[in-house]
Amino acid sequence: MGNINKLWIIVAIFIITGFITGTQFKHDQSSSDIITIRSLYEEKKNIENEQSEIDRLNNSINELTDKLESYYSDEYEVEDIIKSLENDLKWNRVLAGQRETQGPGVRIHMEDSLQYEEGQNENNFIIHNSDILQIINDLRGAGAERIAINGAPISWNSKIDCNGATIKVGNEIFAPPFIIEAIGEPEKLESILTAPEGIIQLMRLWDIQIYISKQDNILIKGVPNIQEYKYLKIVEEEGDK
Amino acid sequence: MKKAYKGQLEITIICIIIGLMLVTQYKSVTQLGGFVSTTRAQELAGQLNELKKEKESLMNQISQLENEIIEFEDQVVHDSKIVDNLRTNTQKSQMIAGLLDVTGPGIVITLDYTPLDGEGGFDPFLVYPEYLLLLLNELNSSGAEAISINEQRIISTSEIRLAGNHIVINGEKYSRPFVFKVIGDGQTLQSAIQLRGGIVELLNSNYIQVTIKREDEIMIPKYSGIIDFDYTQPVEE
Repeated sequence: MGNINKLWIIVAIFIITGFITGTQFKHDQSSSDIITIRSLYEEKKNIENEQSEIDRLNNSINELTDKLESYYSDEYEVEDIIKSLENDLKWNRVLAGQRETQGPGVRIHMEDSLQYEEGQNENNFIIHNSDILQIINDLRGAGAERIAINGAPISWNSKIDCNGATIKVGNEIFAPPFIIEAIGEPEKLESILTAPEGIIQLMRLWDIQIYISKQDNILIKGVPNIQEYKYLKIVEEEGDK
Repeated sequence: MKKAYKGQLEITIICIIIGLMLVTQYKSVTQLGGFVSTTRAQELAGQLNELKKEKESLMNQISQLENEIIEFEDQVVHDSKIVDNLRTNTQKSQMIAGLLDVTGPGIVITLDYTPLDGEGGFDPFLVYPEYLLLLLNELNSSGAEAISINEQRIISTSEIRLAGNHIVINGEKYSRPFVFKVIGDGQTLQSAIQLRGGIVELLNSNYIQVTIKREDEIMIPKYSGIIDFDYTQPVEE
């Protein structure tokens, strides 16, 4: 009898614990109807991004005020202004991808799977242009500043097309191995590539051979002969001449 | 007595398992950012709003300073060919980099999805965010000269990324509809994406409605932030 009594007590304790945890979870859910931990995490990241953007803005404000001050000081010369304009041009050419640049980053080396056997869907075992588009997109998300595929520099309007076993980047055609190089913070770039749900992990499932290595210095060429714009016009700002 | 001991052993094991489960659950919750509460979320949202306002006023300050500098330069250097040349080249680079508002003829593509059963959970944009990338690539293949998605200028560092229930473009959150503004040859652009077996067919087969409108003048805004390269250095020529 004693034993059965004890059993009932234990059953009662379990039921109570169950209720407590159950209500606890329900309570949590009602107070976070739309707000999930994930969205909070995202929000936090957004705030961090915004903060770094503000730091950048403050930096450029400082630079501009310094420039103005040096202009207003007595020692300016026409040559100084020309020099500063030349410097502006240089950096805008870097931003536009027109100049050869260098910096630290990552290198990704990819080769088609060796595992293909008769009867399997071969599409799963080769590298597609959509895979490369996603890798480039991921790299941009991790703050890549410049990207090149097999040495061909990528700008915002680079087309990357499937061409059988090869891919076409701009007007150049490349066969595997594909080498993607990106300039940026090496740790950040590497971590987005090795993220558990990332495209690279998926590609590795198909035994596509991928090697990622951090690099101290990557050289990326300037975009060759930028197209002439046929349709684009600059919107003149008010007050501009 | 023996019976009682036997029972206790099992209960101990069960308790240990439950304990481990609770602890791992708690740990994974704290790892993802701690406890969730509405006040905390509101705090963060408020903070974000304030930062955005601050950013805007800083942007205004910058364009004021830039204007002041240009004025000063104009006063000092009268009609100099060198200066004019430098300025035009800088402007060209800025246009390529996406740092200037631009206008021209082209097409406006609207992607939307109407849920069949009211507000269902399914949203094709969240299942296939990479389709936006494919459309972008297709437009670039057909000679697009400038593109914006929901007024976000696409530049060389733009990413299109899924984050929770949103698509993040240039760091800003968006959900459907997605409006692509494209400057270029309207005829070429339209026929390229409407190709049989092309991207529009792919989108349609995944329940995404595509509306294409040709326009004579489209305004595409400049990139709304500052591009600043921290790691990239020019190689001296």
